[in-house]
Amino acid sequence: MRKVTRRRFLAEGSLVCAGGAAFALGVCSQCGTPKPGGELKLKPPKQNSLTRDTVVARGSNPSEITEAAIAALGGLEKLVTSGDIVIVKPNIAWDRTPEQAANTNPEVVAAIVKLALKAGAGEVHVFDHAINDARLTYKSSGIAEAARRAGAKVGYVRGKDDPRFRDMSIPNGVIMPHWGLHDMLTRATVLINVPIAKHHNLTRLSLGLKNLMGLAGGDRGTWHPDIAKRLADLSSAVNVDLTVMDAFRILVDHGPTGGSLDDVKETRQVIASVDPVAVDSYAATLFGIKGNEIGYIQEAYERGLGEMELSKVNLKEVTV
Amino acid sequence: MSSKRPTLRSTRRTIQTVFLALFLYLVLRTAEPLDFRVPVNIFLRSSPFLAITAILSTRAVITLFVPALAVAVLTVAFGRVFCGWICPFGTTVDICDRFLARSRREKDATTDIQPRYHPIKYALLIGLVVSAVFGVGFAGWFDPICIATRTYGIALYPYANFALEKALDGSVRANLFPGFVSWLDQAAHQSVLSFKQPVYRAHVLFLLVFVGIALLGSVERRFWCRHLCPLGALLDVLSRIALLRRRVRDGCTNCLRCQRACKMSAITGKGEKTFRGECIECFTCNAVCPEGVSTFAFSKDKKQGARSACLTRRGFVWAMLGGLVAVPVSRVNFSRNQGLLRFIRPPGVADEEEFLAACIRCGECVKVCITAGLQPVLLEGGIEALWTPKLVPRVGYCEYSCTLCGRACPTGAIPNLSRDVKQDMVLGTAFFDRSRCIPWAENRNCAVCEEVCPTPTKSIVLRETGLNDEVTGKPLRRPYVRQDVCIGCGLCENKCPLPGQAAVIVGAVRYPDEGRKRLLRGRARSGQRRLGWRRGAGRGRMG
Repeated sequence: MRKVTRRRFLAEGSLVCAGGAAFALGVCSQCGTPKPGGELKLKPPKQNSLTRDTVVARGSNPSEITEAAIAALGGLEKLVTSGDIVIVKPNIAWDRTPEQAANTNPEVVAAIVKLALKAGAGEVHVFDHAINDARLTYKSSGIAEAARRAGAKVGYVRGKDDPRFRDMSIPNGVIMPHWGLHDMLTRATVLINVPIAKHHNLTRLSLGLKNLMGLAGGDRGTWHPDIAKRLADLSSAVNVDLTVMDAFRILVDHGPTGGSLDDVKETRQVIASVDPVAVDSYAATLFGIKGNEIGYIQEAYERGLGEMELSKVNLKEVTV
Repeated sequence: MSSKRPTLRSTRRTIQTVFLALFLYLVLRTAEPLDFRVPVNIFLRSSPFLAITAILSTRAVITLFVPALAVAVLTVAFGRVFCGWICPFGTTVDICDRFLARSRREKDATTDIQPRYHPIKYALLIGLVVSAVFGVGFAGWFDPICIATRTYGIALYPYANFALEKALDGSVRANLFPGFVSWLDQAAHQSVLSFKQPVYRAHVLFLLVFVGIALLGSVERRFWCRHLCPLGALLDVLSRIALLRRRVRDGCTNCLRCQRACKMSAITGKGEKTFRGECIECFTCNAVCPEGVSTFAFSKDKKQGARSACLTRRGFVWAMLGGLVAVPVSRVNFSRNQGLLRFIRPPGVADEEEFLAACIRCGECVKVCITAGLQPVLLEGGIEALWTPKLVPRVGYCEYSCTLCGRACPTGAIPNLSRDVKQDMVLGTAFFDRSRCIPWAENRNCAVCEEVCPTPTKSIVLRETGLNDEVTGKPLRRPYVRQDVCIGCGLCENKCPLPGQAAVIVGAVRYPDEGRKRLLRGRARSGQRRLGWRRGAGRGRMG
């Protein structure tokens, strides 16, 4: 054993102390009880000059119809301005391939990422709080690769306890005054929701408002008995600026997971609007269901989050 | 050491470090996506002791053990190089011995008496081989590579992961350098850190085993390797005919420095003789010899060899008897009579007997499991099931398209199945606890289990009840399990929103014959057939 000299004691001791302090700092900074709501502020709605239409674009190429739908709204430049931090929120919840239609079509996601960057976005973030293991869903959905190649930052959410979920207040929440939401919602300036239209046994359909659940952490399973109110609460808080619904392939049964190609129907369209309720209400008709038959669409409509009556929606159809 | 050229001893130390580092890195990489070029289970597959016992207990030629054959050949040619240069547990023991140097008594180099407990390793080897013949899979409890895998992978890794993870989480929350921290966070999670914090059931036991072995170093250096290690005993026997031998050239002054320095106490005869089978070729004797007469060379000369204390005939018979006793000790198992031995085993395991014989309890599947749902069994399955893996769905479910455990298993106890075949495997069958399930007990709609069910046509269905949800007034539907379709993956149990125990629980396979049929069909489809002479008596064994 070497003798402990004063010099050595000081040198090694200070190293150990520095390491310990760094570790303690790390631990303490997240041990403090999070204040409900706290000083964290969710992003406000972004001012935009997009048309108020609900656009349905049809065609044989997912990225072309996505571009056409957004062009028909006036182009993404009308929403995204230079330096914006944009969240593109697809459905990447399931370990399924694009053909199985359980996740958003990767080409649709990539097209939106490209348009956002072209419009001057500083950063585009793509993520979802997956149900299956995120490493698998990001890969098999094809979204991670497509979005990365398009220039987006693709980050994992590591389960319900991910430190990025932070307790935030939901000012208009009826039964959910606060919940853990992804902290990117405090940094971002634009939120583009990119759901896929598919069957869901409890709510009947999983559409745009349902897709927002991927922004929430914690035990989302507990939402299910009051899912309509919860989704309306969440929707009222996060301020979706644009919804681009992937209905290129829709899942008509055994959703939201699917797995069998027998349940997939090719409807070859993309629906886009700044009104999240109108998009959902229109998408429901693809399944032969009216918007008011879906609990959360009805609830969101009653709260004034958007228009459910398709007769009052200005539908614009484009074919590529 | 002032010599300019590296001595063989320093080369050996470097190589030891490299192998230990490789071993530890492989432990880290025993995780999704399992794409490292070196197979993560290569060390386990290099143990001739595990190879012999697993092959005997399964009565099948397990081709996964080809590396073990290479180690056996290496040992026959060069002696116990594996023990001295490669074994990660041996290196770990070396490191621990350094810390215990003060508590060890100075070795008396003048006496050549071998201690009493020296033959324990031979007895262990013989007993475990004999019990393996009868299908008892206890070898992995004592194999050093298994012990190292469990110590590092199951017991220590979660703590290291926790410390690093918390430090990173704190930095993420402090939001000081968001770009850099976020990059570091993602990069660390894709390499060394676990995707989710793992916790392994009763991992402290593994730690205690390790600490116990390490503390033996305060008695003698390499105590485990000299007296207890059954793999060491096997390599000892093989190395007795090795061609590479220690030779002491003329000019030895009998200064006894080598004898004192030898960590295996393999040197005798006033420094001029070597116990065959004890030397692990660490080359310390060469390094400490002031005359430079201690060397190693290929020869058939037997004059400088000495016979070490071996198992007596009586000890041999006792060891065999001990191995035989292990058979009823393992099989006379109360858990079997309760039918409790039907754990939810990893996917593709259809026959409990075959599994118990083939599993070496190394913990690779537990470490690699993508959801950390595979956990070590304790005594709930009797002694024979100790440390084998079972799925605990509330902790983690079996991911539908994941095949990691089969790919990581070093003995094929968990078959390495293609994704398609694996998705067809039945692990268990779900059932409902209607006294707690929300739609059954509270008349509220909930469908999380149905929603997440990964089988393409859903193994859980919702049926109309004619009642209404007590709060929303919507039609109330209640869940049922389709037992013929359910694969028992446990995703429903994992996601059930009830606090504590779930209301949908995976139990034993409802139709086990169907599961077995599917496995055989699957094995045939993926061209996987085990080589060997597996008898049809697999199920005819006692118990």
